[in-house]
Amino acid sequence: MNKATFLELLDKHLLGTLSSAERDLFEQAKKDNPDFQNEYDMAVNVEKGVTLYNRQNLLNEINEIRDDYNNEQSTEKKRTPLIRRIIPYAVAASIALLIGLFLLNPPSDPKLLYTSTMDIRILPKEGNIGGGAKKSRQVEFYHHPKAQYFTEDDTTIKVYLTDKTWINPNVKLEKVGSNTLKLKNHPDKQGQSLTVPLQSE
Amino acid sequence: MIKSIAPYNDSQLIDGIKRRDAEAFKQLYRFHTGAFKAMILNNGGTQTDADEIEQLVIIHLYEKVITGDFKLTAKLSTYMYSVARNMWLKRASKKNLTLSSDDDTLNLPEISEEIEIQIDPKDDEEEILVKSIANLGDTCKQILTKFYYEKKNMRTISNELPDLTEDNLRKRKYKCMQQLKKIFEQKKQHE
Repeated sequence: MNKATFLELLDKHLLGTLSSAERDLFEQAKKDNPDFQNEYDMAVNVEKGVTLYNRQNLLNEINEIRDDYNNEQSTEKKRTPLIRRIIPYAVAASIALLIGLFLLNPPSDPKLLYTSTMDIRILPKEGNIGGGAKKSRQVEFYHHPKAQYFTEDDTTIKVYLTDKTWINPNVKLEKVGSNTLKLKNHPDKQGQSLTVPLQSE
Repeated sequence: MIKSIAPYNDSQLIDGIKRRDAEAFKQLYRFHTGAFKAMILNNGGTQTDADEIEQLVIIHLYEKVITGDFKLTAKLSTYMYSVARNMWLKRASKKNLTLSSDDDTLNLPEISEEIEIQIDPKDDEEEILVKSIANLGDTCKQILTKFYYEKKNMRTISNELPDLTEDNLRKRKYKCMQQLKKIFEQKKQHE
């Protein structure tokens, strides 16, 4: 076997595309010719080195992206205290409105707890979802006068709002799993599920 | 001014990862890593463990995607959780920790392979080799990366590097290897 043929087989070996007949030829050539064995050893080392080199570059890149992401989250948290302060009042007002609506006109679907006009954004919230806490995943809604939502959830749901993940007005959210909200009436994501993210504390 | 970025669906995320689109990676952090980081923390892991495994899972996913070895058979978040669990099981056993069975109900896809993502060179030779690769010219780095890391064949690489025919590419790759060998030997002598 000449060197060019061996190098071709070596490439195929590294890509995992050798046929069994080619594999036999390849293995025999390595045994018969120390130069071919050296080429093989070198290629295996280079494969390892190139992999480490690229992983280190990728790790640096995603470390920067994660830092950016975390900085954006911190900025968002600093920007929201006013919203957070008014939430108890908004919730109280909504409950009063809800009670009023139930008294005057109870909904035909008993699972439909709440319908309102609001805009919804979602922000990962640190929280415990492991172990027994899995069932108590929380999503909290923030109010906005330009969108609609409803939920059939019978526990606490919290959707944290950020400026990053707006859902268009008139979207309806339906809780369909312990950490999944289904979007309804969304022009782009009809029928698709949106997983509500939860991050660890 | 509020910026509006809709969440990517799984296939948009895969495309974004392939392109190394920063927004796709941010959405992984936003939507897809929280659950497994919590699993690690709730099973004796530290924040450092959770942060490290988060990055390793993303690197693993990237490599699966670019080598064409990734098929979306489950939700992306479920797949990532399984990979993280696999990595954490290995790390936890070294720390004599046992993983609680509370996530058995999640119907995680089976990952039979043992996933190990080595980042740091394990000895001086590997370290010199990585430094030598960094010293290569851009074209050589590109060729070697596409072939050895992205597992692309010569035809695909020559389509991506239109200045090089398939035949020239083969010759160029061989030259790059020789150049690398030379740099490596020089560095080895000096270090």
